[in-house]
Amino acid sequence: MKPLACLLLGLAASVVLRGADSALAPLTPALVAGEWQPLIGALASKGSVQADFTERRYFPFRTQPTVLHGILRISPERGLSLQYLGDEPNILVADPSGLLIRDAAGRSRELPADSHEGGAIASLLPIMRFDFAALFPRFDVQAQRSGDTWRFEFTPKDPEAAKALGLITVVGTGTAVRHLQFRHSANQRVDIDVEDPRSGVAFNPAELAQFFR
Amino acid sequence: MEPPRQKWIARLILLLGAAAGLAWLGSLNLQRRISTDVLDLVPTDERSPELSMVRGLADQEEARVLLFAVRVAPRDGEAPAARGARADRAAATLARLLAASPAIAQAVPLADAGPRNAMAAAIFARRLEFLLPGWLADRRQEFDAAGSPGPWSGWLAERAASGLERYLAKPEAMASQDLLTSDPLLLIPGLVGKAGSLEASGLAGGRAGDYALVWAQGRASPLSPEGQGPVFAAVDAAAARLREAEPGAELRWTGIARYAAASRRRIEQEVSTLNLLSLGLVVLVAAACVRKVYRALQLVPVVLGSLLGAWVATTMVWDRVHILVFVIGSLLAGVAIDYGFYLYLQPRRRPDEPYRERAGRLIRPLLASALTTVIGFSFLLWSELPLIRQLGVFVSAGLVSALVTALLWFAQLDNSYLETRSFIRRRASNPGPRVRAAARAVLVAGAAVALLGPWRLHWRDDIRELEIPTPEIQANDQAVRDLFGESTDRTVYLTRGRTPAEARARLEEFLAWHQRAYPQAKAASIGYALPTEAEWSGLPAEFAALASFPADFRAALERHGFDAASFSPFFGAWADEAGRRDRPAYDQLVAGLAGTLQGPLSSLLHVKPGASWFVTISQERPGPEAPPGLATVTDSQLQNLNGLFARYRVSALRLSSVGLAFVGASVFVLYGLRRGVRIFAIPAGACLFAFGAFGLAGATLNLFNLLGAFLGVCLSHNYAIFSAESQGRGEEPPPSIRMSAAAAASSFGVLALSRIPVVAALGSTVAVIVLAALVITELTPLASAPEPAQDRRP
Repeated sequence: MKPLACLLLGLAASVVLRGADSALAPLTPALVAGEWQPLIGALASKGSVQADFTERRYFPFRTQPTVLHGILRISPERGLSLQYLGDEPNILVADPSGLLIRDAAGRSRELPADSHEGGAIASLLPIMRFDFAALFPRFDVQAQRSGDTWRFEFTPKDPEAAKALGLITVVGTGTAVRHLQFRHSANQRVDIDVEDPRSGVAFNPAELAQFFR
Repeated sequence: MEPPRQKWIARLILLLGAAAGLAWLGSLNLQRRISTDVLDLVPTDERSPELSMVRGLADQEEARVLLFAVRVAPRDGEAPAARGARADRAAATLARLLAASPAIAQAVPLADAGPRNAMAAAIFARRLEFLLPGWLADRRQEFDAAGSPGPWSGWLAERAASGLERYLAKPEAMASQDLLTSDPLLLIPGLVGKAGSLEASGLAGGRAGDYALVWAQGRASPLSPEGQGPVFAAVDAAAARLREAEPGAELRWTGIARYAAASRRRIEQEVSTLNLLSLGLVVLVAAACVRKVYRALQLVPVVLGSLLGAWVATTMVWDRVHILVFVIGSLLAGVAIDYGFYLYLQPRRRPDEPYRERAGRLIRPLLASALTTVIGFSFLLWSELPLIRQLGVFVSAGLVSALVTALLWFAQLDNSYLETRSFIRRRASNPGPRVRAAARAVLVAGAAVALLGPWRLHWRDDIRELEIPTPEIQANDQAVRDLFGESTDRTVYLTRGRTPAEARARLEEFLAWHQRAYPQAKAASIGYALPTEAEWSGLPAEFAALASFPADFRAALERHGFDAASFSPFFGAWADEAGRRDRPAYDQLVAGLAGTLQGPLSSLLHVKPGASWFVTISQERPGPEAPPGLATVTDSQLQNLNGLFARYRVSALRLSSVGLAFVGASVFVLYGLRRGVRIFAIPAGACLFAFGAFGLAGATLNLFNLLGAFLGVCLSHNYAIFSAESQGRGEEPPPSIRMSAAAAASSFGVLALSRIPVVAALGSTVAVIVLAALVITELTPLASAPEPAQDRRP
């Protein structure tokens, strides 16, 4: 075989193999308990996580995305906290009680978990915990894996939640989440890049009080 | 034997009087004439705005609100979400069943977002009317403060575009992005930021734990029978139907109607119980002190005549009388019988002394004691409080009737003298040094209490003490309100005005004060959705000054990275509003917003001729009240009306003081300065002792302790007069003083057991004063008895 032909065949085989490996497929409870269990088990048992993030918000009436930076914190007990840095710092907490937004002056606004709006956003919490038992009743889930890289897509079953959240995508490598996307359309979406994730961190009481409810 | 003519004339007058009185009472519709509404205790023309608000709240739809919480029984293996959905369906069923009843005006399950959506849609549709004027006024202030050299329109366009860009970095921007092409000035997000916590105020939540919530409104006032029985029947029927569909469903509910019905029922029981007990005890005291017990029944007509006269006079003067007047009026049994005691127990000077001669001897102290008391109570007619005025007439008329009845009743008896048992007449004729010392010690201790104790008194009035507390209903009410999100961590304010414009202006001032007083607490009000009258009237001029704003704003949007063409919905709305020629009057604008508020949201804004108010809910624990000039009160102030009643207390104190001054002056006129001082010192000392004892006991007193003190002073004043009269004649004090005091103490002691706090306050005060006066009357002769001559013989 000629070297060029070998190269082309090799590339084709690689595409076929990668394609087979990367096809998004519905994730079922049986699959979660089966072949996906090692990955999901590892993701769910990571404990507390802290990472930097860059968020790009795309609006249909804006020519460029709005870029925000901050620190993401996940506590298995307390929930998810996004600390936005910049000119108008805010802290957004999603936990079992609902959603809480705390401004720089310490004033907070809440959306209870049993409200429609708060409930939709609070449903992010099981996603960040990879709690599939809680996710399956609320979302249609699809999954894809390619070597060390994996991808989950969550489509809310409740139309109101779908309107609020859009399609949610979580992408990661190994046991680290690398990218999140909330997508309504190409020009109406939020992309979050997670950088330098550190698992197993211990939040001290002051941090817990400041960044969680 | 008494002259037959005298007896028949007395009987004729008594019969005619009783017949006329009973005929009058029989002709009345007592159900209508006797009120249990606490607001009838305060004047209809009361100038206090707090009270006019309470009246408004009671008369208007706010008082007719009914709150329901439904919980369905759990099923095996059922997920919490499924159970919650079943509770929501049960709440919707309950609301539908309630709304079908003619007694219920409306019923809304709180999970129904309809009222919220209707309000949001109305505000969004008219955002340039409701929100733009205030937004422009705020920006104009910033512009003036910045001293910007550029034109107003250009500055505003740059400010709005940069504000929009900053807003996109906020967490809530993603949720509201669909609005922004219509609202790039951020009018709606600004309103949500300021008033959004109303959502968490219990007015908009659909569920609390396992309970699904329903808000409803009765059709009739909860203080009227039509607003009670039919509502209870509707709730019972709806609950029964609900349980057919959802066996084991639990329903909790509350509303003012439940309080009002329970209060009326209990007060009616209280009236009959207290009156019977009081009469029974007085007769018992009399029976214990006289030799022929059955003859003590001759005292009953005096009490009945007194009560009949009091009821007739009070119902003749007032069209509507509060039931509390009759509850407190039961005290007359203990007071009225005094005249019977004085006449019936007065020994004859000689066996054949006729009644007219014996009564003639007593007429001066009888008239002195009765008329001075009547004069004193007559001053209460100048009180602002209808309850006090009615009590003044009730007591005065009752005392006069008692005196007249006693004089006439004993005039028609052949034997109008009742001999007392010896123990009631027994006195220490020659007290030893130990008795003297003990009497002095008791008097000195009493004086110390009277001088020191009153300084420790605390005063507080609460209109709720005029009713019988109903702990189980209160606990249920609190539990249901907790489910609706009402917590002690928040304060509800009501800002009022005669017109919507005045109320909105006051709200603006109040919110500025609140921001300074509670910088960390967020205050949410539907008033944020309305401009002030000045902002509204200035809108046409602003549009004229901002003619170039659309072009300036397009350019600014492009500079800040926006696609200006995307904002065509906003520019279209701006052009329409700017070109508008006819705008509604301010009152119509406010009424337009009020008209969009449905269900629980309707309580946030009240617009009626003569009185408008805005509700503000602040996320702070109740603290210092707003300054009076802000025309704002908290709901707790409205619940207790302490401020208002404190004013009535001062007024009652002033009138009581004037009344007592006249009582004292009349004593000085009748008995001269020296004897007058000695007579007046007894009731005054007893009164001070009672207040001193309450002060040392740490009691908190109210208006009714004050009224009780006034009555107690008048009563004990009678004992002092009769005691002084006897002393003047060189006789021992008559036994009637002891019996009167015992009867009065018993009768008022019964009132002290009342479950109505103010009635208990009045009863205990009078009882303590009367007993103290009796002790002073008894001990003073012992303490001042001369030392026995020393035997100096060796």
